[in-house]
Amino acid sequence: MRKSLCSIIAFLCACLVISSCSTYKNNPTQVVLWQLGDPGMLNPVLASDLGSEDIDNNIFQPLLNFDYRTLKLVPVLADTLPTVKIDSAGRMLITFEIRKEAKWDNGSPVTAKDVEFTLKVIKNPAVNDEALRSYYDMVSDIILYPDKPKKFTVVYNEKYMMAVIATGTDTYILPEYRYDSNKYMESFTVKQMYYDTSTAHNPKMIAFAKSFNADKYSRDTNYVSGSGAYQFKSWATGQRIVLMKKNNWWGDDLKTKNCFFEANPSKLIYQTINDMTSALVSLKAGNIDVIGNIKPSDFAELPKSEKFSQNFNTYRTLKLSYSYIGLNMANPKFADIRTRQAIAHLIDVPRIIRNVYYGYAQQVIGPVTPMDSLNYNYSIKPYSFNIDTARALLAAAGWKDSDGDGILDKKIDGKKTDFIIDYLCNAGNEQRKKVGLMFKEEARKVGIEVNIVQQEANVFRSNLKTHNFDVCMDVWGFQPGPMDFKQIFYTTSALNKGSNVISFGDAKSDALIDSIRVELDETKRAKMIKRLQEIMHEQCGDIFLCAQQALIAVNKRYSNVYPSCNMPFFWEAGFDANARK
Amino acid sequence: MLQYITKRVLIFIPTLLVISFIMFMLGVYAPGDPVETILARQQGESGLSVRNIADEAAYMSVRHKLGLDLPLFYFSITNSTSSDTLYRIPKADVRESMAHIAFINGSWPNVARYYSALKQFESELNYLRTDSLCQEDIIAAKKNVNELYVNYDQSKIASIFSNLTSILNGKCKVLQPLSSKFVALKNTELFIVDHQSSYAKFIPAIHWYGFRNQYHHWLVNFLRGNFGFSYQDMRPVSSIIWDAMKWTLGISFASVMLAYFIAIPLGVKAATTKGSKKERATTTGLFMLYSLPNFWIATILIIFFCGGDWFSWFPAPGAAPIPADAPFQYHITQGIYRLILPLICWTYTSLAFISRQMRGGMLNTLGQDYIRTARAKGLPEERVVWKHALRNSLLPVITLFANVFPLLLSGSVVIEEIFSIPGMGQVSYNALIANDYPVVFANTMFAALLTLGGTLIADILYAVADPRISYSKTIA
Amino acid sequence: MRESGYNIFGGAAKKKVSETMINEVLSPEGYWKMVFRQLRKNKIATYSLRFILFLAILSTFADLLANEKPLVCEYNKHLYFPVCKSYFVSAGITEWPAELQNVEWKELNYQWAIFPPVPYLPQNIDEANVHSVGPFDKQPVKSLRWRHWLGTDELGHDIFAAMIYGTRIAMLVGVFSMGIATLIGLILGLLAGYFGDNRLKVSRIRVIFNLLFLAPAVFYAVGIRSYELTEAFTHSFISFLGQCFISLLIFSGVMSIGNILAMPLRRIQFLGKKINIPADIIVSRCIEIIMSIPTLFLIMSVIAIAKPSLMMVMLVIGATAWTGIARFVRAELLRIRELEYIEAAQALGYSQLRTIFRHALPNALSPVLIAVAFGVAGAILTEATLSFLGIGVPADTITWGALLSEARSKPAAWWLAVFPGIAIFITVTVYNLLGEGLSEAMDPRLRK
Repeated sequence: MRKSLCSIIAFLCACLVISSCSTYKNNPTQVVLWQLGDPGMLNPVLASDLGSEDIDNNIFQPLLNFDYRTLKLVPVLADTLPTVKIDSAGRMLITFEIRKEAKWDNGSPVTAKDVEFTLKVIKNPAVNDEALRSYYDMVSDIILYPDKPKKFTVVYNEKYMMAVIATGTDTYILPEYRYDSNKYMESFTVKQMYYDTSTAHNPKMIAFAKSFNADKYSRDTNYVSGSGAYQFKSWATGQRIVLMKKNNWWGDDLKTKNCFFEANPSKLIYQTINDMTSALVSLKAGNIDVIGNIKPSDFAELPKSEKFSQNFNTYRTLKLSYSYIGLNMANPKFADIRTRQAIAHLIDVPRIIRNVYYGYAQQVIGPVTPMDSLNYNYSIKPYSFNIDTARALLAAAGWKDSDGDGILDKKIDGKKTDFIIDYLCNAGNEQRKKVGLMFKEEARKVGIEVNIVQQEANVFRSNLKTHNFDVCMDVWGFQPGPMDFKQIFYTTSALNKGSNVISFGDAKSDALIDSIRVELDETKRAKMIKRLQEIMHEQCGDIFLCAQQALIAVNKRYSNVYPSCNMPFFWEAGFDANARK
Repeated sequence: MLQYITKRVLIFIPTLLVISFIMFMLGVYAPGDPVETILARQQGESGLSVRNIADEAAYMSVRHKLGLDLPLFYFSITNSTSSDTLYRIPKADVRESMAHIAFINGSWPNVARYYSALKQFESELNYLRTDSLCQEDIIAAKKNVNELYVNYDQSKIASIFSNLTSILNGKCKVLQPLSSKFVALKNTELFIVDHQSSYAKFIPAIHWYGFRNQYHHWLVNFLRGNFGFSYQDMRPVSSIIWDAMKWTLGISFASVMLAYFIAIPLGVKAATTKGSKKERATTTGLFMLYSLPNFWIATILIIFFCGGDWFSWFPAPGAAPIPADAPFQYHITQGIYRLILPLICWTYTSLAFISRQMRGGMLNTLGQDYIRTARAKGLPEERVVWKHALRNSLLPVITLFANVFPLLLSGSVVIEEIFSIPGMGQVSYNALIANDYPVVFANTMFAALLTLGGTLIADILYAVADPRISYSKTIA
Repeated sequence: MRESGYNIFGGAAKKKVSETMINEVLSPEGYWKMVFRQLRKNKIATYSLRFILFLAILSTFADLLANEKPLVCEYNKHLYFPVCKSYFVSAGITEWPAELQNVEWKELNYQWAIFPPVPYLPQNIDEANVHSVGPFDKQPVKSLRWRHWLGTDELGHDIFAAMIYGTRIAMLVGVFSMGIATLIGLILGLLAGYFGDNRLKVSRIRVIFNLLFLAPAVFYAVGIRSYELTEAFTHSFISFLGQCFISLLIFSGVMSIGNILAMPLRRIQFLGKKINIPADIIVSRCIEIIMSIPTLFLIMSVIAIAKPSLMMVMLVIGATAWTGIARFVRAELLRIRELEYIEAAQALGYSQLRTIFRHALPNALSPVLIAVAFGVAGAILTEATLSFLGIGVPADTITWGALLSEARSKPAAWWLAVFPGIAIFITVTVYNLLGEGLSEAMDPRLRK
């Protein structure tokens, strides 16, 4: 037995020696980025998870995008920003022109035909893109100009504030020659697909969808291709995705235009490490160059590590998101506005920011980022943490401890109801759990019993959508640019499992949201958005907590690193390892 | 013996069918709707959501594509209030509440009429042009209709109806054309209550659906070797499993071998030197190992030995891949070198259990008469222990062996997650979380097959280790 | 025995004589008493037993050991026993006086007060000591009385209090879930191992009737009561147990009707003929099926329907952990039933039950005890892993496992790892030593 033990140890030592002698060094011009899990698929039409969008940005190109530095809408594949016209029938006509340099991998130019093809793919009902397709329901036609192959006009059937952003930034243009080599979709037009529902059953349409849905167009290096600076090179499931810089990319000459034409690293490697703690070790060990989403507690600890501070720079930037504690307004316990305000007074947001987020967050009062100076309503004072005010408000709302058991109660619909509520959050999210623990402890002091219920993400979400909760904590993230509040705050969004989980709103707020949607003038819109924030603050259905900061660490090797509040918080293709020696 | 094995293998078939049936039903009744999961895929793990969830048409389309609009099984045994057409109602919560109304009141056809009247009323309501004056009433009406879909309680329904009546008779003229539909809806509801039969729920009813059902489709495809496509990324399940299996098989096979290789001698030694200081020290050490959760040990090992702030003896997770052009022995040594830490974490917990069982079995055997005889004959102690006693004391360890096979496949979620190994543990766990049933079912069926194989092998080994156990002998 | 046709030698007179004979020889004072006497001789096992008792006491009186309320205090000229009073209040017997309703216990102006040794509840947040303050660090506390002797965690929870209440959870999880598992495992293992495939004989008519009545029994017990059951399940665990009990009554009612009906029909020769029930095959298949269904899947399904609760986790762990025990019992009994002394007992015509429980089972227990002891530990560790994955146990229940998983992300805060680590280690070891001590005490050949 001793012999076998010795031999094992000897073997281990041998391994150690052999492998530490010859390590293959990383190429200095590549960037290794951390990701928590593999993206779903590299198909910008089918996949819509945030992880794959980050990678898609380097392979495919949209017409427009938000510049990472300025957060302004800039043309990418388009030559300039589009012109918008509203015709006599109330339709919206958005005209784009594609850059004359733009080319696919086979050398052929990117034309309006490719845009038309992409729209047809999105609108094909047999393609598995149900989530994306509903955004294009209003697109009724695309007008091509035979004399100008790079010019086209997208027609929206109604006036819609988000139309430019939806067609510009959400649509990644696909090369028709690669994705439809059998020319299945050629015989259809967007107009036909909009007006004639029978096209949905056309066998050609279904045949195309069948081939497009197959996994070769989502993960096969021979099929996935776009006009971006990087070429999809390999995907080792659960380990890494490698993108390679194209030689002689058409955009190389346009480097000065905007950040989307900066493509410095020779390789982009997306490395999957499923555990945050392990990922940080890996970062220190030099396996990873960039981590984009460090936990606040870790971020506070990191500078203590010598190895880290020698090799890495840290960056912070406010995320375009807000966290909130939602009170289910459809629940009779929260029907009284004073009850909701009392709860708001029980939540000590500055302390939450200090203790849970380690100061890496900023308090907000509404669903608008505080960086948006035009729309953010600075005049609203957040509810202050005050147990006595909360007690008074609760008493005014009719809550008192009539049976002396330490828990408040009230007669609701003739039945004595104890103030016992469930605080719902998704399992595995430590921060939300901790906010809940703090809330529980304060609520206990006024006689409210809070049970913290952690649920697995899908169940959590479905419970929110069916309004099957008392109190929940969630985060809502958004894109730069104008916001459409209809999705989360409109009354009809509370029905049929919409995203208005707290059942916010009445006719007045709906009317306001409707007019925000169709108002194209920025300052007029800002006034209405500020009014909306006031209503939300008064109603107190959502208790807005804070906007978190994205906490980033990037290897000191790279220059040209600038944080951005847009996901994924930096433009990795811009990182430059050559400039600094 | 051969006869016994054949018999056992034949019994595999019904057992596997039962397992597949149970898993299938668990999948159906487990919470979370795969359709909604697919539609909500864009909502990342932090809950960030950029885009809206699609409407009902999208829901129906995905449901149809996945084949989830078929009946579940060949037949269903319910009480006679339920129906064979219930499965056609798309959304689960509406389906539940309609079934509940039928259960309370005893007649499905009446409830079906009520459901279709409700649908008609809703579509009329949605068809109304929104009018700024009546907006509030329309919203209220919509909310109430939505409530009707998911409520089964009689008094609650009545109160919703009275709400609706007051809305329709209110000041708003736009809503008045709906009155006729509303009266029809109310009548269907009244009809349900009037024609109540409370005994119907005590009568069982069998509905026959034939072969066009979800289970049959899945089973037939499974037998053909077509395990379906993952709901998460539309990859074929077989390729997902194959990718993950390569990792898990390697590590767990090595770990099992290592565990037995170390634990059996330890157990035997512990039995022969029972009560000595050395034995106590080993025992304590093993218990200490056993009682430390592996998620914690794994993290500690990574933090201290993988090139963080302390030692860099081992590569950190996510090390650059071994280049394809590297020499063969480099591949081997690097492969082993990278897997040492996961292997340690995988193995150490089972050492204590195996060696304790071995020790127990050994002590038991050493007390037997034939061992005393052997000792009395003057055989050297080593020979007595390793030659005579070992074989007979292996029985409890063999029992453990049956567990080993499924372990080979199932992997360990925790260790794979911490070391970032894309093995079976992670695949199964992620599939479970995402309601990705094709992957879950396939995994379970393979694990079941291995479990069955494992128990069979363990049973055969019993007979080998202890000839007194016989399966062919019939006692008359 | 009579049913299996073994009573060839079984004469009534002979049986009586031999039974007393065996009893005299084997156990003058009763079997279990003797086992206990043997156990007392084993020092390590005795200490282990004492330590388990200590843990049990600790978890029973956790409220008195760590609490934010004083044990005794005088406030506004009244004498109060707040900790004890809280039991009565939660039982609904008394009420809190207005002056003590929802108060900050630590900030009241008492005339005098005696606080428990640890003056914190595990959920109390000490705002002055957030972000993990260690036991030896400088702690901004009023006096030594309020010091966090084992440090605090990220939010400022007292670790000592968490350890004390964690003991309660660990004891509950270990004992309760393994209790269920052992019960199921022993019964099914016995059936399979002792009877094997050929020894359990039942008349044809009873087999037919049992099968016939199974469907309606399930239908009436579960099928038509599904709404009551699910409602109770989402409501509370106690009401769920109640509903389960009613279902069980209905089930056994229907089944017993079948068995009673079968009795007269047994007289008919064809129907009364005994046939073999392959107990081993049936039980083994059950084991395989349970082993094949991933525990995690079960837990996640159950938790998602009902609210996460400790009870559910314990039930699921118990309902799946029995397979190991059943297989050990079965394996041992397969061996034991062939031994001479069992044949002798059978030959002497002892009743089936007596042979099993007095003679066969005690000899099969020693590997089972080790498995149970490891199972108790395993249940505690399973709970820890579930805490790591964030499913199962409610977030506000403080367990050793939850502490350890918090320690993971903060290796510098050693006190978050060391104390629960030591606690788990000691508990696991003590259970195992006791299990081994017991198995030695039971087995005469292992005694010194």
